[in-house]
Amino acid sequence: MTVTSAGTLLALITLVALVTLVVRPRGASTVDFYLAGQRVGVATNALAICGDYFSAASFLGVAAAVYVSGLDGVWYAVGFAAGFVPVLLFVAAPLRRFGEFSIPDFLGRRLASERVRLVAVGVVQIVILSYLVPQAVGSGITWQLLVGHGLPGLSAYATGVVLSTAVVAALVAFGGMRGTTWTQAIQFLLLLGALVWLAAAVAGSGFHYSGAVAELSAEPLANPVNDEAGWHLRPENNHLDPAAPATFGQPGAAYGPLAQFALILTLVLGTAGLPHVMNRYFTSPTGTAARMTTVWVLGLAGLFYALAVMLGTAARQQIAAAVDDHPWLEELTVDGILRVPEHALPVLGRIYGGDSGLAVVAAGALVAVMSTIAGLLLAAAASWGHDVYERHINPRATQSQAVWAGRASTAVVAVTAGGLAIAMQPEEITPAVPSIVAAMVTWAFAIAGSALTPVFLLAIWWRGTTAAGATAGMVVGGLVSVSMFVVGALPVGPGIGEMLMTPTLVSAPLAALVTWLVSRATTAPDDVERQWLVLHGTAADRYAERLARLTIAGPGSAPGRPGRRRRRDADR
Amino acid sequence: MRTGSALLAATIGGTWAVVYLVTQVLVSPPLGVGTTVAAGTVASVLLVLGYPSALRGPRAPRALRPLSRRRIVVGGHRMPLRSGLTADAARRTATLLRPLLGGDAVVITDRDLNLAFVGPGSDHHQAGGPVRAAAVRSAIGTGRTVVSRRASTMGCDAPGCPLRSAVVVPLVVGERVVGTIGVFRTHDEPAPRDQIEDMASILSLHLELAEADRERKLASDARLDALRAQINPHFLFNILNTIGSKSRTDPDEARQLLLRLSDFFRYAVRQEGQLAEFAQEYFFVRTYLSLEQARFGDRLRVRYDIDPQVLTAHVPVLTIQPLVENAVKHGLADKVEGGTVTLRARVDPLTRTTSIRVTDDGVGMTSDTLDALGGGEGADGARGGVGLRNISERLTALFGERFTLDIQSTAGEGTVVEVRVPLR
Repeated sequence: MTVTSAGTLLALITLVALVTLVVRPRGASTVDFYLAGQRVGVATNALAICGDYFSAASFLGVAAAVYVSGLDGVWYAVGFAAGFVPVLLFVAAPLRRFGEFSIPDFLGRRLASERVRLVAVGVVQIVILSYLVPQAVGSGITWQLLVGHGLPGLSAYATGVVLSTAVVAALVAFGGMRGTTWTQAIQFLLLLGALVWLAAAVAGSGFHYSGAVAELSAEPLANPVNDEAGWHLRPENNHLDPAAPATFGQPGAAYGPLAQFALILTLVLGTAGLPHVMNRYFTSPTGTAARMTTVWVLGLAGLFYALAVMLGTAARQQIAAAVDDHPWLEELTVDGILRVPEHALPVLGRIYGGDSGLAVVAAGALVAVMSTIAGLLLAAAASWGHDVYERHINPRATQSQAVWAGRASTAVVAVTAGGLAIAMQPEEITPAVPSIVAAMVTWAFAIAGSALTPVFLLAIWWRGTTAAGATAGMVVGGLVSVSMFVVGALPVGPGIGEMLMTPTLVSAPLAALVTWLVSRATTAPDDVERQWLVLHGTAADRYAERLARLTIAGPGSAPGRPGRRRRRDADR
Repeated sequence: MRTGSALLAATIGGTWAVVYLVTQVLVSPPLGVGTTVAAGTVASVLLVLGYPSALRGPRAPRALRPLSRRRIVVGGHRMPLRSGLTADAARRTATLLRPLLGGDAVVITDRDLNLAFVGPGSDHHQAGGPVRAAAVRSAIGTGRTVVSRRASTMGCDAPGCPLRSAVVVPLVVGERVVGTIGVFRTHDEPAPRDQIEDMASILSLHLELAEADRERKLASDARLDALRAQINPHFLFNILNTIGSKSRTDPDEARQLLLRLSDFFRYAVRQEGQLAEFAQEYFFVRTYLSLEQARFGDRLRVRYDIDPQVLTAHVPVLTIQPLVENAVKHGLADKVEGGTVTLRARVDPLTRTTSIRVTDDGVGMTSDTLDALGGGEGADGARGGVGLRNISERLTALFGERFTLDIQSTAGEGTVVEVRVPLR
């Protein structure tokens, strides 16, 4: 790492810290935007959700996937963004109206069962862990490129993993990064800023997306592999049409017909089951606001991933062209193609912005990783501390005991994730999938989409769902998806193998079916009608809106007030 | 910064500078980057860990000690009847006790109905049905243990009832018989009487505890009512004076103030239950403060620093407004140039707590006054505070030991009151 990039990185991180402190809204109007359900408030919450959601997988992974396999990598971008469509349509508003604080709390109260809550906690922990590991891997890869060497006794990759998880865990456990709405929103803005800058720089240098795709598709897609013959380019197989060569602009470079579909389904279903994202929906003021927030998230996600896809394409074209002018690219590339595809964005940043450009992208990646790790650790620790420790192990815990339980579980989850990330050497898995980080995140989506989402949707929309049904559904969905991963990791035939990498196609319908069958055999909680009113009724929404209007209308806001009062009285 | 974050940041920065000096400048040749970073990281981690105790120093706040109420639990917390004599609790208790009492069937009744019946004969001694056995009725009537050794004295009128002998012991709360527990056998030798009487006295104790719980809840509701009643006089008097004077100079504003006042009391009076969403309490506080601002004018400045996440959290009703009222009344009213009241609210997702902090830069309190508040003596006394003690008692009733109520104050500089309650 040169002095320039180190300096820029440091300056940027300081800038984020400062902005977070300074921009925090003050004065009498802080929460008024929000209360009013106006656009500003909804947008703030949407930005915060994006800050939690966009991780290393989104920032580095999507561009990397596009870089390696062209159109098949674009599916990641489509899936990550489209995941919010089911959330918008089926989940956001009812979830908020029910008003619990997390997914296990929601299922536990909706189905009136402690067992459901505990099983949900288990599934949530698995999902969080499998989401945490790729984040740690992402920070390891970033460190590898940015710093290049590690602490004594550790490789550069392991150093990045250890440092990032340790720092975030310490921040989460001892205050500071507790994810207030503003902090998360500003972190996302920095992330988006880095991406927009890079896109502007690339576009400014005369890059045209369609032209680049046409140019890249002219010859077969080939990527570097490392075998006995050393590093060399190997053409990708076309999984859709084995006779034709795989190209950048056509599907088939990475996935067969079934897997193409399975991948998108996995990502679309998985989002509704991500604990750290869903937790933020519980804090919207009304159901309508929660839904509007999702619309904003969809827009922001669309922008973000469109840029990521464009930059992945640009990296493929520009890096190959830049190898002659930039000697430092030699050791990272083989014939103009990067060995580790996650390096695509940082390298692009260095080409266009020198060492400072590299630092800007690295800062974006670090912020993405850290805000997501912080959100995940919080969700995990809160779940252990609250759902398990306070409810079952020590129901009479004092405040300080609860704090220490939370800190201890933060440490345990962080150590586990870091250990798994170090155990999984990215070089070993890279040849099998387009982008290691994006692919590993897909596993988290698959487990969430198989075990949580079907049960979640049924609990919201079907009165007959019972505790036993939900438990059975979650257990079956979780077990089937995990065991299909295990089977998929074993050497089996290519046809089965590719489907087993994204098990949602089988396990999600199976989980829904099991939930339905078991629910039919048991009886639903008695007060389901009352819960239905809370979940789908809008009376509470109207009340909250009325209260918000009244709160903001101070004395002296004479115009229109008498009319408003009449309306309000008529509501009674 | 009150939490000392700046101090921590400065110290960590200084530590890194020292590490840099030692490893890169003083030592020749300089040490490697890895070693330097490792040393600095270790030092920073140690600092962060040791920060709360060593750096920040002993904290000044004097916690208002919540009244310690330790429950007396006999026979463990799992005894279902601990929550009262209900059909569900009775069924679980009967199932639990049947193997212990050496009978074939166990019945638990209240004064009129079979609440639970486990064992042979449950086809006609239905749970929820009227008491059938004469032995049970006589135990309820006399309040004494009834032992019957024959089917005829046991007194079930259904033909073919398999039960022949019975031991029925009344359950007593205070002096009242609230129900019975009966153990039946299908042969003529009745179950051991001593054992069943012992069990009945344990169950009675649990029922008595359940009763005490109910009474405590009633008492807590009464405290809330007391607080509601207490809000009125002073404040109402002042605000009516303000409205009276405004009605001449600015009739329109006077009308607005009256409407606000009605909003305020509508909330204070109609509020039901012990918990409300923060958004509601916030509305209440804003209404209150806008009324006070009409009276104090520019002397009262208000700052809200509220994370939107808090809006949907549940907080105890009528807790924030009294704290704010204290800040206005005791902190700022006596200060000529006035001051600022800050209401800060956050959710801590790690510990699932809501923290609410009311800060004023008013006259503050001397440590004697603070001690008096902490000791609970005269909290409602000479200075006429709006029931800090009331709040503390209600919080204890709601959350037990799981809340904190901290007061820090320096004479001449202001007061900080912070409440932390569990999220749910």
